[in-house]
Amino acid sequence: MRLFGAPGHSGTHRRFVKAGEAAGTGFHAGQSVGILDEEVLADTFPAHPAALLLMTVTTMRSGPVPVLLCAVALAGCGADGSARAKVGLFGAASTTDALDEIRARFEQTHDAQVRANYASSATLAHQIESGAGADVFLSANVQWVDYLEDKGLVARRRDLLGNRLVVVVPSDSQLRVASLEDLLGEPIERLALGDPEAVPAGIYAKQALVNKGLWERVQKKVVAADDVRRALFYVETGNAQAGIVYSTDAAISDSVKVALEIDADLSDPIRYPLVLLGQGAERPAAVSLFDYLGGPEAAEVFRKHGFTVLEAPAPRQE
Amino acid sequence: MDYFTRALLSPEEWSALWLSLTVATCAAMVALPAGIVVGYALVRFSFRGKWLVEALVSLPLVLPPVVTGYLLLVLFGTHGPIGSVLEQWLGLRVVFTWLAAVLAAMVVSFPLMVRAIRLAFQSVDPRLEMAARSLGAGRVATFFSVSLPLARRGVVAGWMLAFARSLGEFGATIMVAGNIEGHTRTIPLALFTMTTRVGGVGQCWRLVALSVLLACGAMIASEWLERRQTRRESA
Repeated sequence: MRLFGAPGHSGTHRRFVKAGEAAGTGFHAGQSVGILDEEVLADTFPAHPAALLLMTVTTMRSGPVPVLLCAVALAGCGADGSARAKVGLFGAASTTDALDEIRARFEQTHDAQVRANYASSATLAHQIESGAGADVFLSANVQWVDYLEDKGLVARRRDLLGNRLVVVVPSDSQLRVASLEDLLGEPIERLALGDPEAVPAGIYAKQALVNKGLWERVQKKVVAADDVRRALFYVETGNAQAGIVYSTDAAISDSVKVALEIDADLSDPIRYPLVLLGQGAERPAAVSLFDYLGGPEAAEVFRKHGFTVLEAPAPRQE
Repeated sequence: MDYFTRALLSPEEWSALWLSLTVATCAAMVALPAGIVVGYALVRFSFRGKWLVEALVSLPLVLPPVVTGYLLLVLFGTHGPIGSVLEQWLGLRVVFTWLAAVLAAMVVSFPLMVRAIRLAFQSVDPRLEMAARSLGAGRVATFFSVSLPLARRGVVAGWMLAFARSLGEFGATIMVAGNIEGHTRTIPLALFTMTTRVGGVGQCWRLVALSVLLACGAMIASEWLERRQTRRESA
């Protein structure tokens, strides 16, 4: 039992972002605003019963109340809620909703608590490099996983998911985008992309535009978003007249519609590698999450959200 | 010459520096008349609802800048109350342009400017103003010939403070102006973008140094002016 602080992780976090969604802030469930995720903060300041005791004794004068609080705090010493193993899951922004669903199922069937951090794969890779508490990482492109592998942080990896790029416009827009060349037109003043130098969605989009010879001319219109869901937000609010996001992102939003599906040959194949980090390899709960994410129940959820699930690599014959 | 400029900073960094300086200067300039009026009014007049005005003016100081930026986005966005009017009547789109960066910087630095200007006008002896009035000068004439000149150092200090704050504005800018190379990517945004790129963290020391220099310079100047102004009080 806990007295103060450290609320149950997913519960409060979800309430917070649900309130945000209701208020129309445009932040999607689980979207992290950076490394100081509410869940990370909750763990940094756990409700240590001894600290509570000290606080109570020093701030209150006398009477039954401090005694009661002390007793309650001491009772908290025994039944500490953090007995369950904690697993740090870092997921690309585009996988936010799918992973939220999967980890809820995982927590029901396994004795573990999954702390999720969603941001662009670039941000996550930098956080992991700096020693963030990540055990499992689902990246939106291979580049950021190679980056981590070069630093010796990767224990196991496999290509898990595929996706498609699409051009989206606000759902009330009259724009016709028959081909990528139409993005050069007058009515499109701002094109929302993930940062084309770092965010996977932006990198793929830039590749497609470069292959069509359009990048030079379209570059000055680009609003660089720090992850693909923010690019989606820009189009949802109509402040960007068009944007390039994944088909899975377009599917979850009612405020945008797909104007054009981008040919898969125009960019590198979109692959989401699933990674078990070195830190996670030593923890059984993390390994079972890694295996679960690669398993059939998770695949069903991913497919439901519109991802393609890639075949597991054949086991190597030694 | 070109080699020299390239050796100092990369083209993207020059662009960020230029944008930061122009946005901060314009924001402080545009906010100045309003800052002077509000600062003077809060010192010399008492009226019903004064507390509300004071609260509203101080609001951007305590609100998280991202929230300020979000509120501006809602107001000035394509579907927002002010934004839709501007677009229909003037064909002017504010969000995701340089104007939005100026707007964000202006709103966020306004409370600081007002504070400094209030202090400046507080140090002006009201008896001097009354003397001018008794000699026949109107309110406006008194203001421009007596009050404002006496408060000028504090007003400039307020301007500098607003300038310094605008240089460092990030949260509101990225919300309402977006991160657009060449249009809204000021120094803080450029730094932020650099850190997400491979090897970017090692590259950003130049912009960091620039940021610190500009901010320090503006703060020192502002402090010095403010002190010269309040010394007037004891004179």
